[in-house]
Amino acid sequence: MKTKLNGILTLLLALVVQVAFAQQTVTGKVTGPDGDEIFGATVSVKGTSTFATTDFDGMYTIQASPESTLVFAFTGYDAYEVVVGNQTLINVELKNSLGEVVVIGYRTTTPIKSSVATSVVTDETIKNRPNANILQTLSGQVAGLNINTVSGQPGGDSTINLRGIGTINGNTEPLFVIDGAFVDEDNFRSLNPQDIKSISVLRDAAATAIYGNRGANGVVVIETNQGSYETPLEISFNSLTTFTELQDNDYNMMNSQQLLTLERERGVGFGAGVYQGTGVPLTDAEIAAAGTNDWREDFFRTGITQNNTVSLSSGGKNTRQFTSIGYFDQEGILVQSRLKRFNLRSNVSGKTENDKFNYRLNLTANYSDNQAPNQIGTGAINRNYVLAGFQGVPWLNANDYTTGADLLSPLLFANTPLFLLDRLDTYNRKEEEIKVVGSLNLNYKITDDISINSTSGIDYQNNILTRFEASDSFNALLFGGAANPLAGFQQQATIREFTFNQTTSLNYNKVFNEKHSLNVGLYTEYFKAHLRGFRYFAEGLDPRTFAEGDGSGFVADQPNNDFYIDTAGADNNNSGLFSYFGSLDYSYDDKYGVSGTIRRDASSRFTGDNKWGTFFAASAFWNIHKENFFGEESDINFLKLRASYGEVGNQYVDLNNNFGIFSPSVQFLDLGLFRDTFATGSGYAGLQTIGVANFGLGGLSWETTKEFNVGLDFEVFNSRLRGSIDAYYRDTTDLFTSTNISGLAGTNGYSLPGNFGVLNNRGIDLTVNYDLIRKKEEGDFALTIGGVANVNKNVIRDLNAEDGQIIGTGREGNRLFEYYTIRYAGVNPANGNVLFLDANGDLTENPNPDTDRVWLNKDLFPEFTGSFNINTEYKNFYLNTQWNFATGLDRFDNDLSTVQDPTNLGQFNVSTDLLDAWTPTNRNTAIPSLDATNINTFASTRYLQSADYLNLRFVTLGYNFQEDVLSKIGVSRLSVFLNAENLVTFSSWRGYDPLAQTNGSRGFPTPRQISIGLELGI
Amino acid sequence: MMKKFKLVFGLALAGLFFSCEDATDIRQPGVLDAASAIQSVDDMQDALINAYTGMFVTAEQHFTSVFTDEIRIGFDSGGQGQSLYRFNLASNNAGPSNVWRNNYAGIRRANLVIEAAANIDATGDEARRDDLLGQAHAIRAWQHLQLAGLYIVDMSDDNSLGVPVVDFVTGTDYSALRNTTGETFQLIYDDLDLAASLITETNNVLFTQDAARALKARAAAYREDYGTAAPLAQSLLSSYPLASTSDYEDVFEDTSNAEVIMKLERTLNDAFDGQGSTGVSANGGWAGAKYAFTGPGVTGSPYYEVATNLYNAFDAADVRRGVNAEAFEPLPAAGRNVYTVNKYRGSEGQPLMNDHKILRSSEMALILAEARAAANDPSGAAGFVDQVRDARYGSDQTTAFGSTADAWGGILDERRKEFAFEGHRYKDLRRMGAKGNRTVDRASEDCTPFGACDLAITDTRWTWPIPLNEFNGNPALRAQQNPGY
Repeated sequence: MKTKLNGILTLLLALVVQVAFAQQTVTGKVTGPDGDEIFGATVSVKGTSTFATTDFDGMYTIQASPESTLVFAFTGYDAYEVVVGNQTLINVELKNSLGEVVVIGYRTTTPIKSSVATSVVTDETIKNRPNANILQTLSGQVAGLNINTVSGQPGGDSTINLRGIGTINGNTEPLFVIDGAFVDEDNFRSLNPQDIKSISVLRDAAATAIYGNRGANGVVVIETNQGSYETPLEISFNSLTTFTELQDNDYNMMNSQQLLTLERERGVGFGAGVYQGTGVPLTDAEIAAAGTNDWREDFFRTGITQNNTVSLSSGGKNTRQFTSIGYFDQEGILVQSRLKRFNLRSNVSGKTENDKFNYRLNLTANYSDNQAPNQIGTGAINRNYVLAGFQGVPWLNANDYTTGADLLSPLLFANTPLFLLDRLDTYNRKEEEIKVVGSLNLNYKITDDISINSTSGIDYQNNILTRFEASDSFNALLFGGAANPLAGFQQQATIREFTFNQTTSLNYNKVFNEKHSLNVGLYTEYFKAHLRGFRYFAEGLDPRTFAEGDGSGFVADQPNNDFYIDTAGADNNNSGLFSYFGSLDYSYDDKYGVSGTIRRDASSRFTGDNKWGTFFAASAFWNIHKENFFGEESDINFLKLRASYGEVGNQYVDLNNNFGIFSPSVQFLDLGLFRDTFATGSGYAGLQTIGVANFGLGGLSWETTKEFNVGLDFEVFNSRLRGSIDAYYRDTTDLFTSTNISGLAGTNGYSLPGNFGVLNNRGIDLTVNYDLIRKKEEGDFALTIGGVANVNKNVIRDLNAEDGQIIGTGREGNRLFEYYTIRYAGVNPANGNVLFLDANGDLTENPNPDTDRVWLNKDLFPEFTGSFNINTEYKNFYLNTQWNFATGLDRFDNDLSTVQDPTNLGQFNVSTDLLDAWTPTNRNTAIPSLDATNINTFASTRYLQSADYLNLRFVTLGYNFQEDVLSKIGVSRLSVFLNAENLVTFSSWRGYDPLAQTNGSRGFPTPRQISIGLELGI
Repeated sequence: MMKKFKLVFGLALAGLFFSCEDATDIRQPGVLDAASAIQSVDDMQDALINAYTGMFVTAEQHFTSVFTDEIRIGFDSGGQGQSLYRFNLASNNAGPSNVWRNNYAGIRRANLVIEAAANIDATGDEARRDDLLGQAHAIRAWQHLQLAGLYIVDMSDDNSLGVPVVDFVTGTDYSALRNTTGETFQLIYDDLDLAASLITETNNVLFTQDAARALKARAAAYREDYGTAAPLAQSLLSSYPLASTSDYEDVFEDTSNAEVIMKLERTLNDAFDGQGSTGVSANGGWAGAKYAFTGPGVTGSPYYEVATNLYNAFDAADVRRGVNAEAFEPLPAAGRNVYTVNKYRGSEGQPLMNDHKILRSSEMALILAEARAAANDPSGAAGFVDQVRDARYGSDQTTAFGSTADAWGGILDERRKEFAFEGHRYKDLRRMGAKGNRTVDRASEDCTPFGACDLAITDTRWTWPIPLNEFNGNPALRAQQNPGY
């Protein structure tokens, strides 16, 4: 075997050796990318049932005519096709489909030489999914990667944690790199997932240390599609239509008859004659006649999504290109939520004839228009649509709404859904964004062994927020008062963010004596981020001339009042990094290898001695199957042991101290925290003031994550069973966290951030796939099962507190964010009051809200997560399913608390659970008396529920049309499919969205999605 | 060809030579270094305004109204305040936590001004510097007195636990134990004496000499030092005659300054112009938004209404009835009579936004009445209470107390009407309730649904707890928690 690896740009193209004998029998050898012979690969003649399999030496023999096409296939490798022509000896080197090129941080290697924990997700499992945001699609696809989506807003952001939560007040999200450009982690809604070729998730410190003080939470490297050299133009078209709908809940809300009867009994609300001011309770007949309106039908809908992408790829001898154009339009299930976007991508690459110089330009320009109502998740009865949908009284309906002015008097909470119907007509909020991500990679081989590389990346986004509230809206009239009849407003804010990175490197690759492979890299990196913003808030809109986004209707400041004074703002913030680093990879005969990286980073976020940080990693691998232990007949096809240790940093404190800027990215949060600063502004009586802006955190520094990782990659039984298992032990030291301070210090708070403490995460990542039934020939039944899993234990090792505990953070020796509250103990059968346990475990109706709280050994985050998938194919059909699960998470069901709250009677709908409330004749119940004197008084575990779940995350059924049929109509590829997300969820959680890891309430649940689509290639 | 590549790589290599400092030494614009922030008398004035920005009363106003007997839960309640109305007061409550941190932050702002006065170059402008310095001392005293009035069990006992006194600019690692009550009041007296000697300001939305003296009269009354309180109160009562009934109405519409010694200005587009937190003992926002969501009257979504017994305590001829309550008799939507809080109807066209009239001569008159009661002179006390009543009725009233206890009770009753919804009732009851045989006075129709009609005046909940949050960062203080918590 002779292999020459040329770093990042050398793709191990399939090798086809031509020998000219005119025979009908074709023979040859099938090898893997490492040159190893592949046993059991199938070689078939396309469009026929003729096939052969390779022997132990990888050899095959098959009868084929010169015009036929041979298809070489083996699980775990990309299928390869070749036209026979006049060849009789066809040797084929198959590419490893798990990603022949393994990203290990600024450089790549092959699976056999990698010593780090990496997971690769290819386009196979991410394309044609209905989510606007690629991150939501990743859920359940990578062991240890927890994607938490709490909002159903189209394109909404998800929180991402890799291998548990590694920080308290630091940013928890991985670093994202698209084709070499560092991009904003929170802004994927404008990008088209269909352009993505692969996503590599670098999981251990050995891989991430080279990213310095941005790599502590993992690194996600995204590669987009490229064309292929010497390939004719291929046009493909993907179209997906998705229907989204609200997932149901088990709150069992009352109908009008139940609610009005209870209201009448309780002497409140419409049932008692209060609402319309008659003062006379409704009669039985009136109650019976009341209609029941489900407000969810007014505030939620079946959303329709259109997702179309056309891509063109082609390649000549020295240039290749990939171009795509996409249009996406998703209606959210919540009214007024909608994302429309337009994507354009052009990836061009080329090389010189002698392959000495390579270049690659990846450029994408995108526009999105995101309608996203705000105040969702709040208790604002005049602003949160969800609240009306979930809690609106059922005896009102949309016909009861006339105008906003009519709702002013009497002003009643029960009219909540009508307030919100008014808001639908008189308010809008949207964000329009232009996002351009581009990168230029240049590579020049000075000699065969030495190359110089340059990567320049930009991430540009310009976001314009526009929102307005009309002067005749209920809210404007309500808060404006009689003196201010034009109290509408319009707000616009433009944020332009530009980040630039330049990485320059010198790389040396050499194989000595065919066995010693050496790869050395020296790098510098410059990173700079610039934010410019301006905004205004215009008070007063003249309805005669106002139109959304336009200023003609603004009302000028009046001589006799100060209602219409507009405010303006502007922002100018910058941050940056400068780094230099190196890498060394050595391997011997593909059996053993070691790698090391070291990086020095300087960050503008810190000062003095803390400005520079040093991060490093070392790792090693041992390909055990290459030894002679197992013999030729062994079932073990591949077995690799990996071990690593590394230290990585996290420079992003996350205090959301954003200088009042609307929603900036993490680059611009919490800058300059180390300084004691003062600011000027408006204060008492509207006068100019000067005061403290920031209490400087003198010793502020990055967090350091130190991680051990041991992993085993394996393929056994003819590679039928494949997988990897990794164990990790990770300490985050110098945690960004809050220390408790005395209020006497005068910061107007009781805590102050800084670097204190140690947090530990330890766990196991597992990825397994098993070909239960392999097909012997085309059209046979095949069944593959597999899955990923992560078990993670989170332990606070050191806290900056005298007694080792900080309420809200946790206690030493236990999990982070452990709940600490009073234990609920049911309903007192004697009087219907709520019972609690005091600190000693004794029953009480009046616990001490301070001293009777206890640590509960529970938190919001899962301990065991993962997914399993069952993929089948038969003839041209395929059926794939992915089930996600999580256990060990507990949430407060604050929505249940609301619908079981008797004080909401008369104003909102409530759960039928209240019909089971304690009475002297119904003493044995879980619902307290409606007259209980200690409800809504003590925070307790009453609504703390397990939120373990099993969720059918994804199912797809598809059909690939026969190529011989298609070729007659000039189509090379056609498949149609039907897929669904969140089709079924099993959980004891009663609320809308068991998957959302949040203790919020009245939020925007993620939807169930059903799609139909087709993929066409010409 | 090769030349071109070299050119390209030359450019790419330039990446190696990007200045490191350009990316790593970045100052964000728009902020001042602490060392250079306050350098002139003008800076000092702006810092003083910042200290005024830290003067809040809405948290204790909300707390007092709900915990005592000023409000009933409104017909348009969304559940606001029900726990507090049930007398649930513990160290994790919002009120004690917010007032403690807000007031000490306010104290730090005042201390910054006081410290700056010693450091800046005020050559040629010494008088203005001294005026500003005096006001800063007055603010510091006011903040300490607000704390004393809520967290000290017995303000008349100099040897008892006071509140921590902070008279310098603290670092973020500062913590301390409680000073004695005597030390606490010594700081307040000293600050106010200094303020009265330095201040030249005459605008009553800022501290004037008279405001400093009036505050000292209040402080002295709190500690039952009536020998100090009475002469100050008498002098101020002479300078600021009680308002006529029509002026009194105008005072609460912010269109008259009659009998107002000092008020906290609240104006459109200032730092307080907003709804703030509703139904919570938190500072900030419009004063009236502590009772109704959007405006005065029944159309403003009143989540609290005037307590039945408070409304009934006002005589029809008393101007304070209309000032404090708007009557809806009945309100069909509620199925009963409704009285909405009227003291903060709004001003400058903004509903619910009003100035806080924090020092008025009616308080001076009632401090004089307290001084007479303390001297066992019920008829003397009645005389001062009567002065207030005459003014409020606009006609001659007769007031008589049969005993000293009656006098204390009568003073409490009068203060209840005079200072309703201004955050005094809780402190008044805890100071004088036992002497005057008074405690919360809630109508059974208001309180029975909540099972919260009575609270003995001897209950420990008549003093605020030191907030639980404070102990997390100041654990030694836990040993000095007030009794009952």
